[in-house]
Amino acid sequence: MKTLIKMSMKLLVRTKIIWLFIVFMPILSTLLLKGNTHYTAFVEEDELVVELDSADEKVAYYGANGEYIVKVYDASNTELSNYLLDRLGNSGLFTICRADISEKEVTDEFIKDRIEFDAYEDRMGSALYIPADFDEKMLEGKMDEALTMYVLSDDSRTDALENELTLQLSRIDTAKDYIVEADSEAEEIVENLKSVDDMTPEKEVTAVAGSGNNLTQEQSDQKAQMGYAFSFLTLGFVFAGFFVANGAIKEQKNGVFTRVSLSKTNVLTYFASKFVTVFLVSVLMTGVVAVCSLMIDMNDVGMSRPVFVLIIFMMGLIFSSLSMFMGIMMNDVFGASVATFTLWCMSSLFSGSYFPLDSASKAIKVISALMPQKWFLQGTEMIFVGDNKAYGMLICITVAYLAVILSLGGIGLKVRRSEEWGES
Amino acid sequence: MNRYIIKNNIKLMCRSWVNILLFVIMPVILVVCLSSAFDSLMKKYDDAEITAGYRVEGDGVTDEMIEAMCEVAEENDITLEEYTTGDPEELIKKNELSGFIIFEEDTYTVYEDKEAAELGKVIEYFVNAFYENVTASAMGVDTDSAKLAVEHPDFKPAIDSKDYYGIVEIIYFGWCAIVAGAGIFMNEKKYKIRKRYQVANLSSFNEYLGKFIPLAIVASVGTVVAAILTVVLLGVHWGNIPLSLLIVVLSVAAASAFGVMIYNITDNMIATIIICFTVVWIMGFFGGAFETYLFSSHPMILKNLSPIYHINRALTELSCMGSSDFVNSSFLYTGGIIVVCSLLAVIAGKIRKGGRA
Amino acid sequence: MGTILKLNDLTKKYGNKVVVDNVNIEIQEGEVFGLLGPNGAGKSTTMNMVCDLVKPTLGNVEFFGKDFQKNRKELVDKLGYIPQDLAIHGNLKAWENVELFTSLYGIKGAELKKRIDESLEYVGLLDRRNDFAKTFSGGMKRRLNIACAIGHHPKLLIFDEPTVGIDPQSRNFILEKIKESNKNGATVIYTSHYMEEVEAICTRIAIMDNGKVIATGTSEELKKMVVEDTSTITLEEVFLTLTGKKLRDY
Repeated sequence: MKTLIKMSMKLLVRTKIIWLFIVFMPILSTLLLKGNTHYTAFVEEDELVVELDSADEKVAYYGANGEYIVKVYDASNTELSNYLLDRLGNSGLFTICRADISEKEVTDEFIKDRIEFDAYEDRMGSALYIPADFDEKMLEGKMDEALTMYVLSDDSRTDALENELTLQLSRIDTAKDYIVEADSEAEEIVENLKSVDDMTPEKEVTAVAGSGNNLTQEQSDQKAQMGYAFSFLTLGFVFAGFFVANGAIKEQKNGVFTRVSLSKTNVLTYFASKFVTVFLVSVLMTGVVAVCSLMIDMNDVGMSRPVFVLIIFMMGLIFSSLSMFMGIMMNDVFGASVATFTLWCMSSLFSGSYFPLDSASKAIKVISALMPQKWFLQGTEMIFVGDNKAYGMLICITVAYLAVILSLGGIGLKVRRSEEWGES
Repeated sequence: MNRYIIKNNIKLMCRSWVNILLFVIMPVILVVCLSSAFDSLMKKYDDAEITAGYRVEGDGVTDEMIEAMCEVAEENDITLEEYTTGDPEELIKKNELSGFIIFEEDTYTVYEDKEAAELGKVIEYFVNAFYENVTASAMGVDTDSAKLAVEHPDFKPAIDSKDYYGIVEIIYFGWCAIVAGAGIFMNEKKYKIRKRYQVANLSSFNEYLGKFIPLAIVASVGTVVAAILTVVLLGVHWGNIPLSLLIVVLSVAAASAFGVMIYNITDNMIATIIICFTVVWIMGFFGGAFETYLFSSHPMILKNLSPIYHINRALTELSCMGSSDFVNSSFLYTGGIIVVCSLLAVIAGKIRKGGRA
Repeated sequence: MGTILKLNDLTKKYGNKVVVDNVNIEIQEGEVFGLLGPNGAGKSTTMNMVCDLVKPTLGNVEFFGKDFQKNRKELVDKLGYIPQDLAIHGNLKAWENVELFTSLYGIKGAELKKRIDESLEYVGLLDRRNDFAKTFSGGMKRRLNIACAIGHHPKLLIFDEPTVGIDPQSRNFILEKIKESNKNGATVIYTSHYMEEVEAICTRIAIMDNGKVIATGTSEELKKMVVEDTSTITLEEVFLTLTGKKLRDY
């Protein structure tokens, strides 16, 4: 068997294109992972208002789970306007994203352009414009000039925003009548309103996990990241396995396999040698991934480097073995290349690597359970929350998949050989 | 242009069941299977009747107001049901509640189900608003005479997730056009048919057309049939049908030109398949084929470099708005790809022929 | 009858290896010219250079008195090449294969349809015109291979080992058809390892070895090079005498 393995490895490394997959694809996928590490935006639990870096920053990223986003162009940046936004944020229904434009020269044209951009290039429930003279307008009782609301969706929660805004502005309007100090009106209004707010019961919100682990939003985003990373990294392993299969197919077609069968080496040993070749290639590729991972900040990934590399190795081994098995069974190079790619594509889609399947039908969830990536994503989730059972689970999953693949492969090859040679 | 080569290559491609499977059935199966999963993406808030549980503990102010709260809740399509015992988390799971509120003396805790977070937020908002209105009423706040400046500018309506993924998956598979002709092109090489072409002095340009045109036609027809099936079976909306059709056809033609170019350069179909699929995956990744382009945080420059981004965007905006600013850029991209790839393919073919067989 | 094909100092080198060494051959119109040689002698390379599939390192090919490479467009439809490999599409029907390859010479429409039927009838496959080529036996595929090369009525036919791996009946049929083509005015170049075939149909034979033409002449003339009494020797024995019995490890 050692000779078979040596022969396979020699033939493989002499195939120039395999170096593309061993070296280039891990580098490319690591770059993709690195470039994509700031996935969707997330809001800290106690953050009432999200501060945007600039007015140009898109807010669609905050709405991936159906949140009602309100983008606020705040030219005022006073205590009173901040109080208003805090109250909106505190209501619980809206995600308030504030862009501070108090330092900018704000013209009607600027606001018009921004709203047009938001309407067509971004996604949000509504936008608010708070002009620089917000405090003055509110003190004069001119609520309709104090701010403008732009409705940018047909979401039914817009009515709630309108009601809430009306309520808060009305409260401020009422509170202005109780001002004592003339030269610190806005501060006094805020103080008075806050003291009223203190009279209402204090709110606490607890998110209850469904059937899964209690991931923070950051961890959920990291998990989504890992889905894409798994998908692209495994593509390289899939084609590496295909190249091993390609060698086996050639050996079957040119009679080398016949010579091997006529020797003391049996079919199962031959197949095992192919598996060992795939194992060695997977180790090589994982080594490259490990080196490339030095470019990534593992805090963004959410797990340590050794764990990350181990997960990639296990999943890569499964996929390279699977593509090798499929290639050998199909006994056709072209068909094998299309089949392996289709298999990878389908398994990535059905495993939930690209998007969650929480609301998918039962049938889809059953199919999903057959996909290796699904279990690795689950293991990733467990690692994020510090559940050490993940490691045992992942090793068992890997062994199980490999056992199935190798058994099917060995049996399949034997059956095909029997059919060709008419053995009983 | 030799119409007999084109005609016979079309026949050969159509006689291969793999092509029919890949272009027509696969994307439709995918959209059908994942249509339920797609609903969870690009979540749109739907008005729904909400049921929440509650418990009042201690002698707080809420004790006196709870009846009024329940009445107001009913008016707002929220049903509040009292549960005097039980763990909130378990009650939520067991009774399929959208949330649970425990009212204590000076505080209240809202338990929101993560899997129905937006409904939980509605409950949270309702309770908060109830208390605010109570205090506002005590303050003498008059909201009836309040005036708020509200404007309703035109905006791009949110696309339905089934429409979005129904469209992008069709386009994605269309970009694997090379598969339709791969077997035939491989056979041409394997059975030395290219030698016949060379003996007959068939020009590189005609040889290229003999590959590109049949491939573009077969792959386009397959893709269009798949698109029609998505309309009939799943109700996917394609918006402006003639324009969308043109974009789809050009998209597939560009994919065909790209595939033939890669094959002419590498002269190896396996390498061609691998390169094409990898490039298409990357373009799809940045172009919104997996994660919607709207939510992805990839730099705009990467998105703009992906022709699939422009095509997806044009088609999805045509679907939900009836018009799109990306139609022109998608035409430019696909047209450009066809021209450039055709040129490079012919040059590659000429160079290879220069060395003869 | 004039010279139809002339090879002038035709040479092909791959690196330092000379595969075809200064070959000079003249073939007259109406001849059936046999090209014999052991494996690696340079026969296929020579034929590839004649068809302009391979560029010569030195020398040129004259076809009807004109340089073939320089006048390719004008002369290409006078050449018909039947390759050793079965260059046909298995998934096309017999008539579709002939249509495809005949159309490459600019023949179209009704004329093309006529030529398709003619070619298939010529090789005895007209009744199988609507069957897929992949369903044909080895002999039938060889015949279809020929049909695909004659639809444009070439003046010069090059047969590169056309009878490899087929049964005696099919072989006999092909040889008869070659004779018929020749009677109808086609000039034929025929390469083969089967001496009896070459002897049976070729009017003149050239023997190549190590890239050179070592002997040219009729079967009788070649035999006379070795023995006086030509009835006592076969062409194969002449061949082995002239080229030697040593194995060629190329």
